[in-house]
Amino acid sequence: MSSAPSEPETRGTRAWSSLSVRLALWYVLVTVASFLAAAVVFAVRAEASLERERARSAEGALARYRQALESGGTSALQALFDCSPGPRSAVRLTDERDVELFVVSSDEASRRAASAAPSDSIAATSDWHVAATAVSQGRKLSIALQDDRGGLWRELRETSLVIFFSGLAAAVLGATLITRRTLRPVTDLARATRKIVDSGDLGLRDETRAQSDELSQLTQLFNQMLAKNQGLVKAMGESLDYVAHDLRTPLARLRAGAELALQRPADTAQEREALAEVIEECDRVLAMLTTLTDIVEAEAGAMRLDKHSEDLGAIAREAVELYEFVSKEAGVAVVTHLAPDVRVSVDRRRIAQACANVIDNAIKYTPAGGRIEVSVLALGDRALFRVSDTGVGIAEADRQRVWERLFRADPSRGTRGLGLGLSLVKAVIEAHGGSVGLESELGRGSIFEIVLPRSLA
Amino acid sequence: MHVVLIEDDEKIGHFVSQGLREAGHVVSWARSGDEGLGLAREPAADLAIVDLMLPGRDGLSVIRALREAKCAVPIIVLSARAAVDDRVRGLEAGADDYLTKPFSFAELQARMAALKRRANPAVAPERQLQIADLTLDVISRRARRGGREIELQTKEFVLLEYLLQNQGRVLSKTMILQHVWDYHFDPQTNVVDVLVSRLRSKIDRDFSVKLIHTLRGVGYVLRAE
Repeated sequence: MSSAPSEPETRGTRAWSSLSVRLALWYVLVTVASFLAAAVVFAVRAEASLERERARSAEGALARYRQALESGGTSALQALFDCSPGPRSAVRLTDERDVELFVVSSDEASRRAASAAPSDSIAATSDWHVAATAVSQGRKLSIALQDDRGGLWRELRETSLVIFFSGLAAAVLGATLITRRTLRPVTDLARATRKIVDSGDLGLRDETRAQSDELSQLTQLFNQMLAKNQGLVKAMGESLDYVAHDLRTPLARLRAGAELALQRPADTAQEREALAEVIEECDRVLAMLTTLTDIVEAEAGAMRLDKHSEDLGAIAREAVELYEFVSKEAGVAVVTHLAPDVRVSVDRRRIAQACANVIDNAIKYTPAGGRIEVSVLALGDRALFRVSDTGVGIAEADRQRVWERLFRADPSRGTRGLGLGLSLVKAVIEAHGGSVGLESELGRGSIFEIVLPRSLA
Repeated sequence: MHVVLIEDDEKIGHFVSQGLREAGHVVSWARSGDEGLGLAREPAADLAIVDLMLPGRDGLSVIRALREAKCAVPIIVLSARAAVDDRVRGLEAGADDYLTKPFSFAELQARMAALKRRANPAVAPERQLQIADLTLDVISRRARRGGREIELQTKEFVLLEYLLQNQGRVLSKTMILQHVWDYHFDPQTNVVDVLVSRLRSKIDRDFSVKLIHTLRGVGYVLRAE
């Protein structure tokens, strides 16, 4: 009946309401069960207490009849019986041979009950409380009082039912209210999520007031997660923009070169030149894509690291050697201070690339006549690779951004390299459990640092 | 040389097989793993070039099957991904070398030549390498051109030796980087260009016959023209 997209919502709502119904039912069930348990305990205790009370009243009545008999004879018995209110009863006086001397009763049944009373005792059958005692001249006075428990029980039951149903109503009401209230953060969260799913707007939040209970924590965590996702999506979008831009430039050059070659009259030399340019631009794009893939892999923790114990000083020396002629050509002096045997457990190729990129960057931004210092030292349980230069320095606002993908301090400058070098450094070093750092002063130079956990022994 | 090419991509297969034929090789091109396995098993095969991603039986499985059958044909792996993972798995399965797509044809040729050299180690390394009027003594590490002694620094010597060993063959920047520095990635600044231009200024600048030639977009070649 409904269209496909709304189906998960219905299912969600159904599952959701069944949760609240289940919770309410459990609440009612528990309330009813505890009410019943309380009723049973109360009935048992009331029964015992009634029993005692009845026995006491039978005993009291017997004592009163005995006193009446001794002071006023059988006529006093008759008088007392007549003015005693209450349920059916009988009073019976017999001599030592159990011959009936006097009897007064409300009916035959009570009379029979009284005649069955054992001497000097109180007894109870299901319907009767009977009591007997010896009086003067060997006579025996016995009485029977009807047990009107039935009536009492009826009263008790009626009261109980009233209490039970009002309790049940209160329980249902309470359950609904409590379930609603308790689950409100969850329903709000579900509603907010639904809204985000429908609108695709990651900027939406679940605006539940801050409380400190578990469900509010869930809401806060949910909002934090949303904020983080929003940041990630934004960063991804931005770097996609940069990538698109940085891809478009070489592709445009590529196309222009090829088109120009086609428009010119056939000239093998020029065509070859154009083709060579095409290959060079292609290589540039490929190098950029490879680096981007590496960065993404390292950041996602998916980079396979072939770790061995390596001498960081040796890696640094090789990286410096790689730039030996490049730095000479740039007129930049490179000096090294490499502490011996600083061991790190790393993927040699990756760390070599990271060190090379930092040196590359320093050479690129240090004018001729400048000086670069590359040092490796051990600091407690950490190994440090540091490159300081006397270059142009980095403005404070840009210091965090140099690690970002495709960031270039001065966008108008056509410096070669695609601004991915340092973000690859950061990603690779962090994938190794290390960190990167930067100190800089505009016009004075910068210090780039790589810190790696030192492997001992 | 009889080369078995196992590659399902029409364009790359065409590019490689045509290039190899022009270079004087015999090429059998298989478009699936099973077909390629049969061809590479034949004793006539001198070299197998195996793409890792293939329909049906994949490249790794072809290499393993060949090695299990005690077939010692040299194998070069082609893969679209530069992931270390793929490289290691290819070499572990029994491949001899590895190339990442896209690759330059010159590099493929150079790697084939290197494999061939490795297969025939009987040829002793020469003490003296020569091209035109340039000689290089690999023991004393001295170069002479036109009777003039040329002083070389270590990396310059390694590069010149590498070029002399591969006379007439194009060497890509990647290959030079790997051979001279043992670096397996492209640094942002082109250190190879810088080294080549230093070497060029020492052995070519003062002579009318140039020996080091740049093939833009491909690499460098040493030849006397």
